Amino acid sequence: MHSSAISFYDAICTAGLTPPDRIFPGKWHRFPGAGKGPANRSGWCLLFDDEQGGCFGDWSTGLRQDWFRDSSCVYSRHRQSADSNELRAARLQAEVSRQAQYENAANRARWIWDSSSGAPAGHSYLLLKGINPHNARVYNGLLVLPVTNFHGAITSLQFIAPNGQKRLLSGGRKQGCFIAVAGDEENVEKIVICEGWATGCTLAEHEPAALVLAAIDAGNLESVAVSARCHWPSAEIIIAGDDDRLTPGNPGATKAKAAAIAADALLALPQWPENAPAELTDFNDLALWQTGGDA
Amino acid sequence: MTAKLLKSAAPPAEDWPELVPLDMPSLPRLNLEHLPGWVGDYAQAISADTETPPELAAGMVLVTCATAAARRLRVMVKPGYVEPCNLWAVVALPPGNRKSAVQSAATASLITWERDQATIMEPEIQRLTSERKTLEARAKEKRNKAAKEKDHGKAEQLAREAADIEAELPEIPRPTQIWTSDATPERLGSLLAENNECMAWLSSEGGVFDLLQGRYSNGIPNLDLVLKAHSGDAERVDRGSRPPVFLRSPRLSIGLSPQPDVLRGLAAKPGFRGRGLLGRFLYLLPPSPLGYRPLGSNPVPKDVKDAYNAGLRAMLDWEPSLDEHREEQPHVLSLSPEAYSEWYAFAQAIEQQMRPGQPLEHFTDWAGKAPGAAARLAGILHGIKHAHGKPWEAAITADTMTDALEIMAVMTHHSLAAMDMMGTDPSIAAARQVWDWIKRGRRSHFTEREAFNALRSRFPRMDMLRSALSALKERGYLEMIEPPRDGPGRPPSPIVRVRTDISRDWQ
Repeated sequence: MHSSAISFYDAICTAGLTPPDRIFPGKWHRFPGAGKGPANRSGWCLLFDDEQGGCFGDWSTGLRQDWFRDSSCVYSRHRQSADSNELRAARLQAEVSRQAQYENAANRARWIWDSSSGAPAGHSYLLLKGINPHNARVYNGLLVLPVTNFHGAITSLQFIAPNGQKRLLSGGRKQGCFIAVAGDEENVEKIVICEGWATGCTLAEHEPAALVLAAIDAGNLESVAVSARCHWPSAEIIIAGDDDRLTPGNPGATKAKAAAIAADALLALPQWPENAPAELTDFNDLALWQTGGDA
Repeated sequence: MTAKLLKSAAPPAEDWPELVPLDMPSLPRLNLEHLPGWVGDYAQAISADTETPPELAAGMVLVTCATAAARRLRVMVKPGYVEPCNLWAVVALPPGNRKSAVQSAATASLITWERDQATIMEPEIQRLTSERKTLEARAKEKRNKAAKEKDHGKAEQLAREAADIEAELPEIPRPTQIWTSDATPERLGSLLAENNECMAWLSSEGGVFDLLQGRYSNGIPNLDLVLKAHSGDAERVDRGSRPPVFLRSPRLSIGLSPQPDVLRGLAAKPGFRGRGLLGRFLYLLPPSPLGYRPLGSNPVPKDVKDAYNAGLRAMLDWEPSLDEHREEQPHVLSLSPEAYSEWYAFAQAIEQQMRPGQPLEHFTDWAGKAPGAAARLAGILHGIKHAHGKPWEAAITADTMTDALEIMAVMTHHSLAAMDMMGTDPSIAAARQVWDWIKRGRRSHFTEREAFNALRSRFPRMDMLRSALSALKERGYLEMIEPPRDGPGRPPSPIVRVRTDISRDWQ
């Protein structure tokens, strides 16, 4: 690679991404996002034809960064304008590519969803978690859950194996989308937003009047909560967070609090009895443990 | 069971940054009882007549009296330390507060006195003008004869006689002028030179700051003379085609009553803060009474007005002190030992408050001059008390010094608030307007676009509104939440969330 391509490569690595070993000028590259597996294509980069600049990003984290070979150099107005146009075009291309990927994933998700059948109450995972199937379906032995946006459209799917291993449909949109666990989306007075679907089922079974949404993970809580606030301005929103007591920084509680603040919502965390094991983290764990304890 | 679990749901504890208030702190009010009899009465009467805050009348009346006092008095705080009696004061009030009316009432006696002086001097001016014209004609005649004379010796003699006559031409005195409302710094120098080095610059607008910033000198600030005319330091004044003059001890009083907006951002003007211009003023920022006035004014009683006119005129008519060269100079006022003790305690307190971490740490330019301003104020109050006598024959008492220090204590609070206000950028004023809108509607949440639509007349562009919102965010009033994009197209408008401990009080 030329020295500018190497500098560009280094800049991308510095941002925590792993671009392909060879970056060709003028070519649109896709690669795994930060912390993602080798099949992931959230990362992207484009080195301009003249190799004086470029841009890169990661859709999974929202990263988007411009890069110039010599950031201290004062370019002519013409050059600045050219760079600006090139950057704009690159960003547009990234956006178009992302939308195409989302569309493609959404199509696949709809097809799989339509091909799936209702989940049996005896599915191992449901038994493991002590919950009812609700809206879950089964596809090739896996529980399938629809990830939807606030317009009701399916954007992706979550698959849950009998042993509890979870996976999202690759390329699908997750940010700001959720799994609608239970409840009426028309006349909403109370919304409970939690991380996982199983936790949502536990909460829905004991709070039947509430609209329960699962945000899939802690990092998506704030997006879903803020969108929910925009969508239902007068509803009471409760963020039912996980309490990752054994994880440094307790990401579950921290992000739930941030989501509650951002969406002007109430925050609820599991209130652990004194003898509750420290491994328990969410409301489903607590309900199961208490049921077991009662038994 | 789960319902029990969710019963712990509560608003999360929030870690908002410490609130940096936009509003002016609650400032102490000026008690007019600290102004001596006839001046305090008149300030009170103007305030009642115009339905304006007493601080406005007090500030303008004090500067008017300082204009008179500075001509004839100076204060010797201790051997080797003398303060002139000129004063710089700013009383800021929003438009519609009848500032011009108060200024006119305070300065009317100066105008009358100037007019009377012109009348008194008129015969002398006419006589000297006539005499000068005669002498000029004689000199001209001699010069013409010298030009035509063929005898070289006689021609030289005639030329010498013409020169002698011209050397003896009488200076025609100009009618005394003691104040102006609109003069460039250059013209001010001439006015000081022509009026015994004493002048007042009185205006109900803030144009003075534009002039000082160099409105008529290509934006180059011309501060030297003005700065020296505060402290009475010697300065040379160039007067265009006329020969330059040296001012031995110029004394300029300034009384301004601009709008608060004029003050905002003044600290950023080149040299204004750094060279000590802003630190030389005493500031008063009274609350605006607009909207709360009973609209039933009481005219100034005639005896109060007469007493003020008589007192001020007496001050203006004080006889000057003459030095060994028979040149006029101000009388020296001394402090009684008790008055000095009071002043010294004040100066010490100010000194200590300039230490790091103390309230005046960042206002040392103003604080460093505060003890001097207190001494000047004491001199002016002393002069007012002895207006109809000879103030230089009595020492400044502890009571007078206490009154001056009480006034200074109030002015210190107001001046710090003013200096704070002057250091802020205009976006703070914009932020205040946005905050007023939020407060009026008791809005806990709103989108940026809702605010833009509601405030479009004030903020025609979104960038301007964002700057104001950003200032509010920096000060801990609100936070901005970027809602996630929900597909392609225009991104949703950011949500503005108001600080919860404020918005909850509104519910």
